[in-house]
Parts: sequence; structure tokens; C-alpha cells
Amino acid sequence: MSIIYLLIPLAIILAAVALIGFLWAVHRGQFDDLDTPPIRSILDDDDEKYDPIHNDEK
Amino acid sequence: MSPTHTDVDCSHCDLPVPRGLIDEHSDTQFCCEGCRAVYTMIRDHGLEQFYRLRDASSTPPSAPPSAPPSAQSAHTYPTSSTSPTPTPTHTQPYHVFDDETFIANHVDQLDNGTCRIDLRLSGIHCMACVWLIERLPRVVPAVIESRLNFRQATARITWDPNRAALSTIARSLDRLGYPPHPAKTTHAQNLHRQTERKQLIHLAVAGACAGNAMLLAIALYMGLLDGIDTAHQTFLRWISLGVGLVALSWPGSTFFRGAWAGLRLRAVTLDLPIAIALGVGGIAGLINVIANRGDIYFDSLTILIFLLLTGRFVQSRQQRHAQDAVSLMHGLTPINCRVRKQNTFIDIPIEALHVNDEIQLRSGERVPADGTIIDGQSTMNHALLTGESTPTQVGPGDHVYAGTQNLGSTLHIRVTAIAHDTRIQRLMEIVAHGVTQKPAIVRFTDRIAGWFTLTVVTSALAVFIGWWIADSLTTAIDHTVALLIVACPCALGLATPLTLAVAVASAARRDILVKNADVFENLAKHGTLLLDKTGTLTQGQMRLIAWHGDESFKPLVALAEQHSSHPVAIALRTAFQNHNQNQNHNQNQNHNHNQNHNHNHNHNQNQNQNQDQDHQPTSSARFPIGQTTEHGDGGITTQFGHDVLRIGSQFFIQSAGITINPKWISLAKPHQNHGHSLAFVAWNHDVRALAVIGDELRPDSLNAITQIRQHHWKPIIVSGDHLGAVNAVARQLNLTPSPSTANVSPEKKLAIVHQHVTQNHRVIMVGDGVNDAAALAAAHVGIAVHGGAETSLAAADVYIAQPGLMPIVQLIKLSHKTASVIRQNLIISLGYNAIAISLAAAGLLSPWIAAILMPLSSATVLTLAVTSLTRKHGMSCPSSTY
Repeated sequence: MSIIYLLIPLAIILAAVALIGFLWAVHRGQFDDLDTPPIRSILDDDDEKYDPIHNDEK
Repeated sequence: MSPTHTDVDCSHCDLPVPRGLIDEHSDTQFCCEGCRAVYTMIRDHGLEQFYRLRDASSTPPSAPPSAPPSAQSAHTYPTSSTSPTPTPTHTQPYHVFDDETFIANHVDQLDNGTCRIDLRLSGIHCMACVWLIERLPRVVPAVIESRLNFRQATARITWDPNRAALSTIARSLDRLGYPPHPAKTTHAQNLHRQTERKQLIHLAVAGACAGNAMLLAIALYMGLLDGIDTAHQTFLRWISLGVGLVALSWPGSTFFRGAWAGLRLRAVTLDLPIAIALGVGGIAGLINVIANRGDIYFDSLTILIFLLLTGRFVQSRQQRHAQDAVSLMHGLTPINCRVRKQNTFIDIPIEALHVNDEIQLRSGERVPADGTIIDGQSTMNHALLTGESTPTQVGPGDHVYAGTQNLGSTLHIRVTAIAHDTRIQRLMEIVAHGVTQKPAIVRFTDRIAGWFTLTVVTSALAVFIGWWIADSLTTAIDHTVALLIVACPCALGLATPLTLAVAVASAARRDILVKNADVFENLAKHGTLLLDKTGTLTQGQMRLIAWHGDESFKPLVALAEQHSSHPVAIALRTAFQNHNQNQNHNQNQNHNHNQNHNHNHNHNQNQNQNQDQDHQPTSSARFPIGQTTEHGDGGITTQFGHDVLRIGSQFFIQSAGITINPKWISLAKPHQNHGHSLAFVAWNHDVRALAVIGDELRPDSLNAITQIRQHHWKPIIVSGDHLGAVNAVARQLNLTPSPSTANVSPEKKLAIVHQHVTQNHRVIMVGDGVNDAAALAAAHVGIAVHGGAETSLAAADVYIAQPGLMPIVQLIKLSHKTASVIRQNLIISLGYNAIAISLAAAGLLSPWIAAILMPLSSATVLTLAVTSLTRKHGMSCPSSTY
């Protein structure tokens, strides 16, 4: 059971890394809009892949 | 029903297609070219999915209400539509989007050569709109990415400037039915965003700490049951301490700061008992871990922090939704204006305007900046500033203000003030300042907090002394600490914000936007309700109430008044358009009427022609109507061949040399007493008819006033209109007319509000114009209504999107219900606290009992809060519009 001396600090370090990642995402504004993503997730994907840069006309 | 009405619906907007536009050979029908254009565009780019999605979301997911309602009131901004289908405007010259000043102000140049801009779009209503806007790259290939923020109706568009100009993109958006404007991020918005982000981070950290602390605690509890190695136990306790300290010092600091701020102002808020619990628990835990003795409660403490922050987060999000929805209603300033450069006028973006520039303002356009008229005569709509829709005459030398609308002919204006110096901006600043001076409310929970803290501290002292005497100091300390921790008003602190959040959402579903949740508490009490008359108690528009005299003059009157924008003219026109349709169905009746006239030959022919076609009185091509002159002194003269039709006030008719038969005067008397307007209709030398025009009381006003009284609010009319009209309305509503409340100026309105506030009466102010804004801000609760001006929207706590008084009654009922739910929550949470404190006092409390009690109490109040307000409890459905 003394493995917990290693595992628990490891878990905490992982949590800290995740937290830093979260802070970075918040500062980049990824969490500013929490209402449109739920709407977007209900909408179906398009049938064909549409490449806006190389696809000139439909 | 119009004779052109059919049962065929437009393929784009689902409104009925007029008979003349039906194409038998096509399987798609359109009610107008605009719809045909949008449909074709959507089809050409393979985006028909839009229609499937739009029909699937027939109830938009709590969408922001549509653009400023314009169907009922003829005097608001020239927005697109009130139907939930985008319709293009085609009126903006978007080439100003390519102007250098515009680009400098609004466009971000990204590193990889692309450009990005935030555009505020009108007409966003549902998720189909989200789908369509985010497929903009299909319509304009130069667009690389298009992402819509639904709540703020703002699209962030990234595009390649080498492949297309911004104006092309803007025009495409307009053609799809979403006219774009550059999005302005105000300082206040930035502040909001920072606060939101901070709240989110606190919540996330609190959640992470709570989860981990719980896991560690479970390990320790298992250890209590099955035995645990001391070294492991110590290790786990130290880790718990670490996690707990992170939670207490980072997200937990909110409560310490709040309690300290309250104490400094000698006010007790709910933050105080929470801070006591957290502080005592934290310190005791710290000591116990270092000294390796006693219990630790970090799992309960971290859960406490997490739950309380969740409640506050949910509440502030609901409030922000309402605030966003209201700010979407703010009129959009024009994006461009026409400025004289040498001898021509060019379009420039509004940011490039300077003082002393000369601008040209055409009919229907809105003034971009304050200025003086140098040339031109016209009528302007000052509703933005005064709330009155009656057009005012303006000419050279008169001042015009940014935001008002030009109704008549082209004007040339010398600019005197731009941007923040304009009158409307100055007013907004005054209003913003006024809002901060609002009479503060001591919240219910904060009042309870004082007694609560006192009780808890007293019990703690009693327990401490008791156990010290009965046992040892350490036992006393342990039990007191346990008591202070479980005595935390977690349930109360969680339940109240959640209840308020549910109430805000419930109100929003009824088109009542609550920007500040304190209103619920205020409205659940009693006081004075100051009401505007026009538009709130009355329909807000002049209508034909009665017609005495010859019926056959009605189409003539409609024809004569067709080009006037005077409210009386509009009222007559509206009444008689409907009338004409009925006439066409009863042709025989018309012919009979014809025989009774001694019109000249010409006129008879014309009457017959009138009846024979399906046309509206507005198509005057075959009618030999001559000159129509609108006179300044209240009348209109129209030549019909050799005859003259005069419509106007008594004074106008008499000044034209016509004697009015006394029978008309006696007919007019009762209406005059009601404060209605009269229009005498004279043909050549005789008065032939009398039209009574007035603003009728809304059908539900009396019912609403009665209910308001029942809920202990005293209604008082405060109106800028003249005494006769106010008294007439007051009498109909069983209210005592009071001379001091008519002809009220904006300053007087504010003074009346102050008067009541100083007398310690709670004041609700209901209004819509800019002249109400200061009063709205100063009242305990300011309610801006349907069709409100921009400044009153900013000043008010509540915005009601529906006309009439019934929504206010609904709001009052909702407030009472909310207050009772909060009281219920209080009783339940006090019950839990009593149990917990008793256990702690008896020395029976241990960390695992606390860990169960706290979430249990929170879950109970949470369930009650969320379900009680959504259960049907006799509240009427949103009243239908008129």
C-alpha cells in the first residue's frame, strides 16, 4: 500500500496539469460562449466534407 | 380578411401569398421578392437543410426576443421583421465596410494574412440560424470560418481579404436575411467577460478540490472501519490539508472577502456565517494535521465551497442572459452617413464623421450625430428621446439629435456633436450613473444572516463552556469546531441563488426579462406603482372610436389621408381600409348608398369604379383626385374634381368659412369630455360627418389594475398627456384622478419618485421613453415596457416585451411565489441546522455524519427550489398580443 506515496502525488500533478490547461483555455476565450456549443452539437454534420479554401463552387 | 388573402403559404417565410403573386406553374410560392431572393440563394448553395431545422425548432430554445417590435407601433426603428424568418433589407450601402477608417476600427489583421471581424447580426432567432450562419463559407468562398455566438447574436468571421472584400460578405449576410453591423465591445462588456471567466475558474478549482478531498476522506473513513496504517493515515491527512488549503485560499476567498466587506460597512451578509465556518474549520484542520490529532473536515468544507459557488454561478448566468437579451434591443446606430465632399455626397462610415461636416439625411434614415439643419423641411420622429410618436416639424435652424428618424424629405445638416458628445450618449451616461444610486435593498437572506450568526455564536459559546466544564479543553474545542462547521447555512446559501435563477428563467419564458434578481424581493412586498398612460394603460395608438354621419364618405376620407403621417390620418386610414374590404363584399348596399348622394357626375362614376375593383383606396391612379394640402392648423383639404373635402378640427373647419350645424357640436360634446380628438368632415359647405379618434383603453387594463390592488400595490397614473385624457382613463379604471399627475415633465416624474422614496414607500416605476429613464433608475424597481427607448432599457431592472399591464401582474405573482419558496428553503435549512447543531452539542458529530448531512440538506432545498417554480400553480399563460 505504500504505493500511494507515489500514486497520490502523481495524481495531484496530473490534476495540476489539467488545471493549467483549463486556465489556458479560459484565457483564450474558449469558454466565453457556453450557449452556442449545445446548439451546435445537436445539428447534424454535413454529408460531404466541404473544404472552404479549395472548393470554389458547389 | 383581405380580398387578396389566399391559403397558399410562402415557401420561405410561411406567411400567406397574395393572390396576384401565385404562379400556377411553380411548386414554390413567395409572398415577396425578398423571400424569393433568400430562398433562391439558400437553394443555390445547397443549404435547404435550413428549412428542416427551422421547422424542427418551432419553439426556439429560449431565443432572445426578436428585434425591436415594430408591427404594432408605427414609430420604431426600421428593422427587418417580427416573423421568425430572416428577411433582407437592401438598404445599406455596405461599401463603407471597405473604408480605411472602418477597417482600422473594427477589423483584426491576423498573422497568416487573413482578417477577422465580429459582426452583430439582426434576425437571429433559432438554431437553424446558427446552422446557416456557420455555413457562410459555402455562400462566400472567401470566408474561412464563421462562428456565431447565439446569445449575443454576434458572428466572428475570418476571411481571406485577397479573395473577397468585407462588403461582399456583408451583402451576402444581408441577402440571407441577417443585416450585419460592426460589433462594439464596451468597457462594461469586457468587465462582464472578466468576471464570468473568474467565476468559472473558481468553480472549476473548487470542484476539483472537492472531488479529491472526498476521495481522500473516503479512504480515511474506510480506515476508521477496517483499520489503517498510521503512516498512511498521516499521509492522507496531509494531502487533504493541501487540497483543503487550495480550496479555501483560492475559490474560498470569495466568502472571506464578502464577509469582510460587509463587516466594514457594518452590515451582515450571508457570507459571514459561511466565512466563520470555513475559517474555523480550516484553522482547526490545520492544527489537527500538524499536531496529528483530532478530526479533519476538509471534505465537507470543500464541498461547501463548491456548492455555494455553483448556486451563484447559475444565478449570475441567468441574469446575464436577460441582460444580453435586453441589450440586443438597443437600437443600432447607422453604420454610414452621407457627407459632402466638395460638390458631391459620398458614403462614409460613421466613425469618419467630424464636427462641422455637412451631411445629407434622406427619408427614413436615422440621424448619425447631433447637428443643426441648414436646408430642408421635414418631420422627424423623436420617439427615441421623448417617447412620443407624434412627428414634429423641423426646418432650417432646428436642432436634430443622433438616433432620431427622418420621416419626411431630405435634410442637410451641419454636425455639431459626434459619438460621446451626442445628447443620447450623454443621457446614457447619466442613466448609467443613476443606476448606481438606486436605493439598495437589504436582501432577505442577509437579514436572516444577522440572527443566524448570533444564534450560532451563542450556541458555540454555550457548547464550549459546557464541555470545558464537563470534560477537557480539547474536547470542548473539538465539539465547538464541529458545531461551527455544520452550522454553516449551506442549504440557504445554495437555495436562494438557485431559486432566483429559476425565477429569472421562468419570467424570461413569459417574455419578461429580469436584469436584476432583487426585483423579486421588492415586488413581493407592497408600495406604490407609478404608471405611464399612453401605451401601457391604453393601446398607444390613435384609433377610430366612433363615426357619426354619412358612411359613404369613409373611402374619400381614407383617400384624402393616404399620404399623411399624422396619427389621426393613420387612424382613419386603418379603419377605412378594413371597412372598404367589407364594402366590397356587400356590393348591393354600396349601390344604395350611391343613390342617396347628390355628387356630381364625375364623382358617381368614380364611386362605381371603386366598388367594381378589388383595389385598396391607396391605388388612386384612376381617381381624379386633385391637390391634397395638409395645413399646419389641424386639417387637410382635398380636391375631388370641382368639390372640396375638408377634414379637420372645429377650428379648422370654421376658419374655412363653414358654419357647423349645432347638432354636430352636441354629438361632439360627450367625446370631448373623454379627451378624444375630433375630426369634422366637410364636403364643400356642409359638415357631413364626425370622426372621433382616441386612444382606447386596453381590454385587460381594468382587470390588471384590480389585481395589482389585490396584491397590495397602489397604482397612480403619471402621464405627460393633458388632464382631460388622464382623468378619463382614471375614471374608467376606478382610480382617483389627481391633478398633479397630468402634464408631468421628465423632471417632475423623477421628483415624484423621490418623494415616494423619501416617504419610505416602495416604488415601482413603469415607463418607456427617455423621459422616464431617470425615474426608472431612481425607483426601487424600474420596469421598461414594450417599445421602450434605448435609455429606459438601460435604466430599468426589468424589460417586458409584451404590451399591457398583465405581464406586470404576472411578475408580481411570480415574486410572491419566489418569496414563499425562499421562505420554505429557509425553514428546511434551519431544520437541518438544528439537527446538526444538536448532534454537535451532544458530542455525537463526526466528519462522516457532517459529510452526509450537508449534501442531503443541499439536495433537498435544491429539488424544492427547482421544482416548485416550474410546477403549474394557476399562473395564466402569456397573454396574446393585440
